[in-house]
Amino acid sequence: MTRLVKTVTEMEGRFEEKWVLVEDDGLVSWEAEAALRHVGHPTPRLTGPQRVSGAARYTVDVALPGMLHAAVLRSPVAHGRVTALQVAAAEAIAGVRAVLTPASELGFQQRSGPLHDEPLYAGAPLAVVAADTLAAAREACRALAPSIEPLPFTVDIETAWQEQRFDGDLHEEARGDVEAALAAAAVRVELVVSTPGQLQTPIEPHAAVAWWKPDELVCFIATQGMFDARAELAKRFDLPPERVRVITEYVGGGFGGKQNAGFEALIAAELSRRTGRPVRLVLDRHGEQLDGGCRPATRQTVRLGATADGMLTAIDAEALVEFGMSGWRAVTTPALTLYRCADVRGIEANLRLELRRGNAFRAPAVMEGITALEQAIDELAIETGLDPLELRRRNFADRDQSADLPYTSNSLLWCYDRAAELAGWPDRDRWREPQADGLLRGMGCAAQIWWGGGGPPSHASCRLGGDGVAQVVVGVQDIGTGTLTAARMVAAEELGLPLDRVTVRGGDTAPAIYGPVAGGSQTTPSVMPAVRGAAAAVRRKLLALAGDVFEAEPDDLVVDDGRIRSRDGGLDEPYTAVTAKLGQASIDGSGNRGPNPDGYRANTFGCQIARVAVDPGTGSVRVEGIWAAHDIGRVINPLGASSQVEGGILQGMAYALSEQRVIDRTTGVPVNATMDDYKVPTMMDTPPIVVAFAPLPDTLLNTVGAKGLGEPPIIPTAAAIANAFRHATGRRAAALPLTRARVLEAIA
Amino acid sequence: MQTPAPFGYERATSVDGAIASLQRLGPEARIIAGGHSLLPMMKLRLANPEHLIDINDLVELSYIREQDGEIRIGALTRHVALLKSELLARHFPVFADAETVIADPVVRNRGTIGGSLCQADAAEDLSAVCTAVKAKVVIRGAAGERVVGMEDFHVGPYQTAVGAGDVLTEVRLPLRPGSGSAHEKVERRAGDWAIAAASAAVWIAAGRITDVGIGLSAVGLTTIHLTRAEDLLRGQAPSEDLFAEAGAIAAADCSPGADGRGPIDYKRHLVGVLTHRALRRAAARAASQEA
Amino acid sequence: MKHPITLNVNGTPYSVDVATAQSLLYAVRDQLGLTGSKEGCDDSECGACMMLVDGRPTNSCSYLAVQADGAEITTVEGLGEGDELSPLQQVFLEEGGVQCGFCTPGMLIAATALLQANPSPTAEEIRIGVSGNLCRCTGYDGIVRAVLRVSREGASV
Repeated sequence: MTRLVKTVTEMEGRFEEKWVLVEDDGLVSWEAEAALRHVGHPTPRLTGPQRVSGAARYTVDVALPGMLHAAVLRSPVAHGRVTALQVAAAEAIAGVRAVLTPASELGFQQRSGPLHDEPLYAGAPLAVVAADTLAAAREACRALAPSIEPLPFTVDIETAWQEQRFDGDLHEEARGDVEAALAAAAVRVELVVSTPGQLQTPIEPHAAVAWWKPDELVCFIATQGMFDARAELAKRFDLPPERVRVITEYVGGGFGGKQNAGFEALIAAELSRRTGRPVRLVLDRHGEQLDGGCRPATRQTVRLGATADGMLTAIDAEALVEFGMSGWRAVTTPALTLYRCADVRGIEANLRLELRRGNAFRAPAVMEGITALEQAIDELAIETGLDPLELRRRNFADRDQSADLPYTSNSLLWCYDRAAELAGWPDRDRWREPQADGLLRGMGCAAQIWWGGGGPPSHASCRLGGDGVAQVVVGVQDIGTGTLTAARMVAAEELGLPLDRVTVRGGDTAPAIYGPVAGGSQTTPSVMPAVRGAAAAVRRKLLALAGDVFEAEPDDLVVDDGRIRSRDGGLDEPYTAVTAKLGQASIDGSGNRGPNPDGYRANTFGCQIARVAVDPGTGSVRVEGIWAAHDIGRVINPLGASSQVEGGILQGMAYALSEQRVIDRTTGVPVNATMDDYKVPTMMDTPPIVVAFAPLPDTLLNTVGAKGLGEPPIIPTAAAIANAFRHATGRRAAALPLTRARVLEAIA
Repeated sequence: MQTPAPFGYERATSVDGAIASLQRLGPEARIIAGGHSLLPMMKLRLANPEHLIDINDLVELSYIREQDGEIRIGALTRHVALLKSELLARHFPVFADAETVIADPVVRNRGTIGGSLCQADAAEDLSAVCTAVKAKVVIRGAAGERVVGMEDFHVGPYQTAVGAGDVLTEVRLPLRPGSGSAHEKVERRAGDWAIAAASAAVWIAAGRITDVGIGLSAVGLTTIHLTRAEDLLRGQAPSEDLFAEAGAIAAADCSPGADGRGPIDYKRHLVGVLTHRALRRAAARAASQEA
Repeated sequence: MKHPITLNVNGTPYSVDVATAQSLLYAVRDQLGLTGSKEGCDDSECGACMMLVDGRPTNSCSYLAVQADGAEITTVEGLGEGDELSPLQQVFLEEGGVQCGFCTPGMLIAATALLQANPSPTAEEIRIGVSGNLCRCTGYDGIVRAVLRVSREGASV
C-alpha cells in the first residue's frame, strides 16, 4: 500500500519533520543471527575493473565534440574592489569564445556572485573565460589583468572576536544550570584548544562539463548530490527539472566539499548557453585549494565539573568558528550529547572573516567539537586519577541527552572494550618507560558520536529480465564509498542471485529515481532498505509466476543461489526456468526507505586509541598505531567498510599532525594552497590501523540494520592522538596540528 | 597554475653541442635535466626561458666512479643512482642518508645531481651534502673547463658560479682516509622539503678531527657553510660536549626566516639538534671505518 | 611552436603535433584520448598522472611531451592484456586498494615499477616505493596489502 506519512528526518543533526511517500514492503530487518550469503562478506567493488583499468570516466575525462575549456580568474587579495578588467585584451586572444565578468548579464539567478567585483576572500572568482583550448583560456585570464583597489580585511579569529564580527546570532543550547554545577563541582578542569582549518583536497578537483542543448541541459558534475545539483540548476536557470539531466558516473573523492551543482556547473552551463558549445570547467589545484572549501578553524573552551569519582556534573563548551557554514552550529553538539550530564551548556559564535567560508568536510563541526571535548575529558581523567576509558564508561549515556530519547542502538561500551583489547590499553603505561631510541611514547583514546541513521525519501527500482539478470537502479552516485557495490550485495541477497547476476546503475538523474545526497553518513541506511524493498517486490512477483509455471504455492517457494526451490526440496529449478518465459517482458519492482521509528534517535558511536612517538629534540611526532572500534549497525561490505575507516583515520591523523590552511596575516592570503605545501600524508606517514565493528545490527532503524559510516572514523582520531601526546610527554599542545615547533614549545 | 609560456626546445647530443646552443641562444636559454624544479616554476611563470636545451640524452654525463683519488659523479647522475651507489655508501654514506629523504622515488628517478646543485634552492639537500664533503664541481663553457670548490659555488640566492653559457658537468669528491659523514633532516611530512637539514663530514686520525665540513639546508638565503663550527672542531678529539658546542654555533650562525615550515626560534633550535646529531653519526662512522 | 613527435603508448605508435609547453599528460589525455592517467596537482606532488616512460615511472604532468618523443610509454590502460586485468590490478580490487579510484592509475604504475625493480619488497619498501602517490580515500593499507600479495604469489606484473 502506498501512503504519505509524516516522519522525522535528519541530515547531519538537522532534524526536520516532513511528509514522505512510503510503500509498505512488509519486510522486517534481518536478524543479527541471520545467515546471509552476500551481506556481511568482503566483496570487491562492482565498478572495480573500470577503476583499475583506466576505463572509468570521471567528469574531468568527459570530452564532447566541439567542447570549450574554461578557466577562472581569482582574486589575489583578501578584500578589494576590482576597478578594471582588460576584457578586450582577453577577447582578442585567439580561440577565446566567451568572457564572463561581474558586469555580465547571466542567464541564472544567484543572490551574490558568482563573479565578484568586490572579492571578500583570496581566491574568489572574478571572471571566467571559455576558449578552444585550456591554454588559451588561461592566457585570456592573464590578459584580463585586473586592477584592484585593496580594502581592509580581517583574517584572524582574535580580531574578529574583539570586533564582534558575528555571522548570524550567537547560538546557545543549555539544560540545567551549568554555572552552579561548576561552582559546586569537586573537580574542575578547563581547557582551551585551537583547531586548524582543513581542506578537503580531493585528488579530483571540482569539475563540470555542461552542454546546453535545445531541449535539455546535460551536466556532468563531480558532485556528491546529483539530485540536489539538478534541483539547483533547474531553479537557477528556471527550467523544469525533467529538462535537466545530471550525470555523475565516477567522483574522485568528495569528503563533503562537492555539494549541489556548484560554481563550476552553473558557470559551465551559462558558458554553454552563450556559446552553444559544450564547456568543461575543472578547477586547477590552486583554485581547488583556495576555493574548494574547508573545515573552518576554531578556538574552543571546555570546562568540566565532576565528582571525585569522575561522574560528570557540568559540561560547558564555547566555540569560536572561523567563518563556518551559514546557519550551521554543531561544534558543541558532542558536549551536549556524548556523556550523561544534567547541567550542560554549549555556546557557538560564527565569526565573519575575509576568508573562504567553510563548507561541509566529513563530520563537519562535530569533529572539531570532539577534538576539544575529548581532550578535556582526558584532563579530567588525569585530575581524578581514573583510567580515561573507565571515566568514559562511568559517564556513558544510554539515551540521547538533548532530546531525552532512547537510541535505536548503542554499542559504545562494546567499542571501548574492543578498542582497549586490540590496542593493549591496560599496559599503556609501559610505553612511557625510557626507550632506547630516545623517543617519548604514549597512548591515548577518544570516543565518537555522530548521527548517520539516514531516512526517507530514498527510492530504488529493480528489473529482472528474461536472462535471469537483475538490474537495480538507484538515485545516488558512488563517490568512492562503494554504494553501488553494497546495493548489489543487498539486491543479490534478497533475490537469491549470485552477485554476477545483479547489476546496479546509479550516477544519472535521467531514470528519475530519487536518492539523497551522499553526506551525513546517510547513504547506506537510506538507500539499502530501498534496494532491498525493490528486490523483494521482484522476488515476490517471480515466485508468484513460478507458482503458475510449476503449479506450486508461491508461499512454499524460496530463491537461493540463482534457483527457485520448494521448502520441501521437491522443486529445484534455475531462475531462467521462469524468466525465459518472459520474452521481451520483465519483472519490475520498486522500493523505498520507510520512515524512521518514532520516539528514537539513531546515532553511530565509536572509540579509537592511538599510540605516538615524540622526538623531544626535533618535535617530530609519529603515530605508531591506531586501533578503532565503531558501532555502525550491520556492516554490509566489510572490505569497503574497513577501507572507509582507514581513510577517515588518515584524514583525522592529518588534522592532528600536518594539515592546516595557513593564512599570511599581513596579506590575508592562504600561503599553502598547493599540494606542495598543504601536507596530505603519504604512505610513509601512515601507521598500521586495526579496525573492528560492533556485531550488532540496528534492527529498529531500517530493514537492513545498517547505520552510516562516512563520518564516524574521522571524528575521534585527532583527539586520541592529542591525548596520546599528553600521555607521552605530560604536556598538552594548545593548538593542532602538532607541528614540530608547537611540540617543542609544549614540552619545553 | 598556468601553462608555461611558449619556448623553443632542442635535444643536445653532446656537452659541447649544449654549450654551443647556450652561446647561440643567449641568456634566456636554459638547460633542462630532470625538470622537476624547472617545469613547476615555468608553470607558475616564475621562470620564463625562451629556449630549453634538453641534456637527458647525454648518458656520458651519468656515472659514479673512482679516479685519481676522487669520486667523480657525472652531472646527469640521477638521485636514485646516488642512493644505490655502493661506492658512495662506502666513502660518503651522507649521500644515501640524504637521498632517502629527498622527495619520493619518482622524483629521485628523474632529478639529477647537476640539476639540484644548479637550481641552488637553499632548501635543497645535496648542496649541503656537497658542502660538507668539500666537493668540487667541474664547469665547462666556451672557454674550456674550470674546477670550482663548493665554498665558491654559491654566489647568491638561486645563483651559482655556473654562468649563462656554461654547463656543470661533474662533481668531484676528494678521498681522504678516516672519513665519516651523515645527513640529518626534519621535514613536515615524508618527501617534503626540509624545515632544516644538516650535513656533516669529519676526517679523524689518531683520535683527532683532522678536518670537518658542515652544510645546512633551508635556514638561509643560500646553503650555509658553517666555517666557525668547523674551526672549533678541527684538531679536537670528538666528544658529545664538543658536538653540542658545534650545534650551538650552528644555531647561532644560521639565518632562517619564518615561514609555513616554522618560526625562526624553532628552526635555530632544530639546526642545533641536527648539527649535533649529524656530527655524532659522522664521527661514529669515521670510527668504524678506522677500526 | 609545434613539434611533430611520435609517442609509443601501450605498444601503439601515435604521431602528434605538440606545443613545446605541453606536458606529456596533456598529450596523452587530450590529444590521444587516453584518459586513464589523471591530473591531480599539476605539480609532481600527487602521482595521479604517473606513466612509465622507457620503463621508468614518471610524473607526466611535469614532463614535456617533446621529451617523450620516441619513448615507450605505458599508462594504466596498458597494464592488462585486453580485457584481462593484470594480477596487480586484480588484487587491488580484492584487497580494497581502491576507493574513488582517481589515484589508482598512478598507484598501479608506481607499484608496477616497484615490483619490476624489486619483485619481493617488504611492507616498508612498498611504503617507500609508492610514497610519491597520494591517496585521499583509502588510508593506504589496502594498497600495501595488494602489492605484498602479488609479490608473495609471484605473479608477473
